[in-house]
Amino acid sequence: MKKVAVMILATFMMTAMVPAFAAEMTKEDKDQCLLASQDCKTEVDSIQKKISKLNKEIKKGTKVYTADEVKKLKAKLKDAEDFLDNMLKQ
Amino acid sequence: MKKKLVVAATAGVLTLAASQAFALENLFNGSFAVRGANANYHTGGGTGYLIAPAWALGAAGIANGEINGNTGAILNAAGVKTRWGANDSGTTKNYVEQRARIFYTAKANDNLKLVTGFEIDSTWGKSSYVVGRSNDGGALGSDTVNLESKWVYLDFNCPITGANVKAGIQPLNDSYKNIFVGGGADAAGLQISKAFGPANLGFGWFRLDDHNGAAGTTFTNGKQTRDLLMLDGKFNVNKDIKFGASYYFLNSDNMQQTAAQSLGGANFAVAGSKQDYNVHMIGANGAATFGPATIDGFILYQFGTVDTFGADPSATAAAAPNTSLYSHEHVNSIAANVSAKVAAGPGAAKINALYVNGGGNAFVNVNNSTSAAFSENVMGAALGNSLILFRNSQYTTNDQYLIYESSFLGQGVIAASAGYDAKISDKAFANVYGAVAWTAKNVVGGSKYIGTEANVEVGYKLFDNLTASVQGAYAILGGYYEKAGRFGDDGRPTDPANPYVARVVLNYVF
Repeated sequence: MKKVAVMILATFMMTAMVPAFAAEMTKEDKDQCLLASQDCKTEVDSIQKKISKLNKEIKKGTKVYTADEVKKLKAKLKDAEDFLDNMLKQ
Repeated sequence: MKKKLVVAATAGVLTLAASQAFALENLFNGSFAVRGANANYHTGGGTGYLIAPAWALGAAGIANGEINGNTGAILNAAGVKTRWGANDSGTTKNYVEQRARIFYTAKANDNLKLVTGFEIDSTWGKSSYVVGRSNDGGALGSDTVNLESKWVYLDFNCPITGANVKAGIQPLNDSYKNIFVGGGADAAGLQISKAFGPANLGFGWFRLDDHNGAAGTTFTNGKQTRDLLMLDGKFNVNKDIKFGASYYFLNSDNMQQTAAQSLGGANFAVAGSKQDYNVHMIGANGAATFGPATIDGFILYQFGTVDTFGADPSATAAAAPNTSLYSHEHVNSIAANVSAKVAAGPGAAKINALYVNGGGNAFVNVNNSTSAAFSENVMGAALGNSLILFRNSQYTTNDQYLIYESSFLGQGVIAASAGYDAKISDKAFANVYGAVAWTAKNVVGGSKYIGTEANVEVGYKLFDNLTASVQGAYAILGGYYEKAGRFGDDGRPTDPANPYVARVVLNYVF
């Protein structure tokens, strides 16, 4: 029993990463990621999109976030804006 | 069997552990721009002064009785005047250049990340199968080793103090619109900053150079260095009013410079000469918003000493440069700027003014002493989007301007500009801009009037990340450049032609 449990555990651990490589399927069973590079699980935001998202969340203010969280979002926004600014300098 | 199970279990655990250890957030950002240009002075990948300033005139021009003659290129090896001077204004040329930047950030968590940045520059048609970083690899065949490292630094929030720490080769920017240093300057150093309510305090230390020996040679013995210390305080009174104050200390200990930096002021010494200086800088800056208008500006005061060789900015053309005259000068200099921006119509109107002291008390800025592309400061943030007059921090491979660094070879700058940035639609924009500039002191006599520029840019966002634009700029040269052009048919130097540049730009940022 103990052996079986160890084997199951090992198998589970070794296969834990496999789902990350599974294709993303839409409700219509079309893989929009392959078809149009949309809705990919591995998609990352461009820096403009990140700034836009942060602005959107900051606008929600303390209705949604705590004061500390808003402060944190603002710090992240400044960080992203400074990064973009420095990216494009000489 | 038992042994196999143990191995399998161990492998499984290790796999899981390994996957957790690499649970980094991998961030990729970057940009790519390709520019096609038609111009009479600008060149693909060119750097430096667009037209040799009067201060940089060589002995050849003086020997020929032409105070505002040309640079050394006017005499050929046989001592005969060549028809075309170094200020070649007789030809229109076209070039295409491209610049890619890739930034990879390995983010372990919200408080710890490694930031790296790389750059690949190429001028179309230039070289292939070479090892070099001078815009190579653009010719047929391409294959070239030209990947540059730009940033490599650790960025973390200290769990003990709560301060943000940046350690490594990173962007260096002053709080004064990069008049002193910045706008694309990257340097090795340490920055620590921490917010205290509405205030923010910052400390920075940068090792700019570590030199010794003959001109152009570098060592890393830590004895003869150029260091910059920065203390910055910022305070937000409310969301509309903010101000800041700074103390900077620039110390150069027995630094050696190359011929490329051998002219004028604290930043320039004759090749091979030794140079010590220490410059203290106190500054104040502020910004206030009143309804649709925003006004901001700064004032900087410098004091200290500069020991230099053969580059007394107050010397006459006949005595300077390239003499071995030693001078020990006290620095007592200022720079100041005021800018206003008003939302009007579909965009915003902007006006700017800048004063940078010149002459015997020339403003000391930070320049590079290990590269011929030596400017490490800009005027674009203080004076707007110039394409010809002032070096700005816009992202180009070509880096040529009439006023290439903020002290303008120790002569200083007095300048004003105005512009209007219009948002035509969500995707289209248009900018118009005009500027005029004088030297604060013309060290070789004659006119201080450098020139007037007008430029226009029209652009369209093809995608959120990709912008196509057309830029055109024209400058009317002032009396400062009188007789600084090529030789005419009568054998006498002519006035250089007015510079112009037209560019088509594709710019992708992600």
